Amino acid sequence: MAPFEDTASGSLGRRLALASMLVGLAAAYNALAADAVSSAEATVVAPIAISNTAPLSFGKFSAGSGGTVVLSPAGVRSSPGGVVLLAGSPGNAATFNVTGDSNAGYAITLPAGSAVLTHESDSARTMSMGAWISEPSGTGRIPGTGPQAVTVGATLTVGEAQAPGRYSGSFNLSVEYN
Amino acid sequence: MKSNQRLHQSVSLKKIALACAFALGSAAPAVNGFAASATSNADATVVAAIAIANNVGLNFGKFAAGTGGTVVMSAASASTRSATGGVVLLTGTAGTAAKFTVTGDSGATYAVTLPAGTATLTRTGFTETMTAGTWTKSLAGAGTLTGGTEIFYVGATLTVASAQVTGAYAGTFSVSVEYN
Repeated sequence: MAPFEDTASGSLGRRLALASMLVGLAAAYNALAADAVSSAEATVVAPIAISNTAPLSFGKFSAGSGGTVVLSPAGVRSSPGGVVLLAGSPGNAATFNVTGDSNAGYAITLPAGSAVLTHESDSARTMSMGAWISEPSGTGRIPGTGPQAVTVGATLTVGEAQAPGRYSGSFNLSVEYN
Repeated sequence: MKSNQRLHQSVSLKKIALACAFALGSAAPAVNGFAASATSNADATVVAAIAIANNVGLNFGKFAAGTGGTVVMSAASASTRSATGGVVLLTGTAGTAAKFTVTGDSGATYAVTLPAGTATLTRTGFTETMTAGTWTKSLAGAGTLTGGTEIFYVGATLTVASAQVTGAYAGTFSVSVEYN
């Protein structure tokens, strides 16, 4: 009978227990919601982006007996074969700007094959460029401030008696966080 | 104790939620921003080969050898001739500087290379010779193909011996040009 005599206190005990449980649930719910939001914010990364700021140009040259025009990532030309380079139009390397997370490393992917340059007025006349080379080579790292410039050079194959005229084409450069 | 147990469960749920948040947080941007590519244009310009043609030969004209000396032809369209030593020039046959026409890419500059040594003029049908050297050209430095063409002149100095055998003497020399 003793428990029934203490109805009031028993009732109070249940209410207290219930209140305690509710408080506990409420606390758990709040903590869960707050932590989840915090974690999502901490893992957001700036996307990597790349833009082309200068096209690649092999400049002007006379085909001569044919050969190649090698353009370094620094924009310096050389002609190991019979091609005669015109100093007045020296060309330049392509420049890309890479942006993203500060200090993030990334891989640079040059074109897998060659690209074709097509004559301005006769699409049957072409030259191919390949042997791509970039600076930095292979991998880069985005500096703390500002974008990183990636320059790209290549080797152009020129036929003997290649028809005079302007030739143009394009190529892609890809970057990926590593 | 019951309260503690619930708390542990809450922690476990929280860990799962946390793991999910990390997975979502790292996976979602990877699809959109992990890699990127850009396209660059590329170009090259092939110009016509540079070419040179000789339009007028170098001609020292007529002169009398006398005690010998030299005949100098200036490098100009209206070439002037002068003599040193005992050579006497005949005004009726004044001679000409050599004339060359260069063609190629409009606006391009080029270098002219004159003969490094002397050229020999041999009396036609015989063996007597004279030598021409000290080559000069009408261009001060590099040439410029304004409009894709340019004309220049070459002069030289002919050495004449005392009592050089009379007759017509002939020879050749070469001038080359290349794009700068």
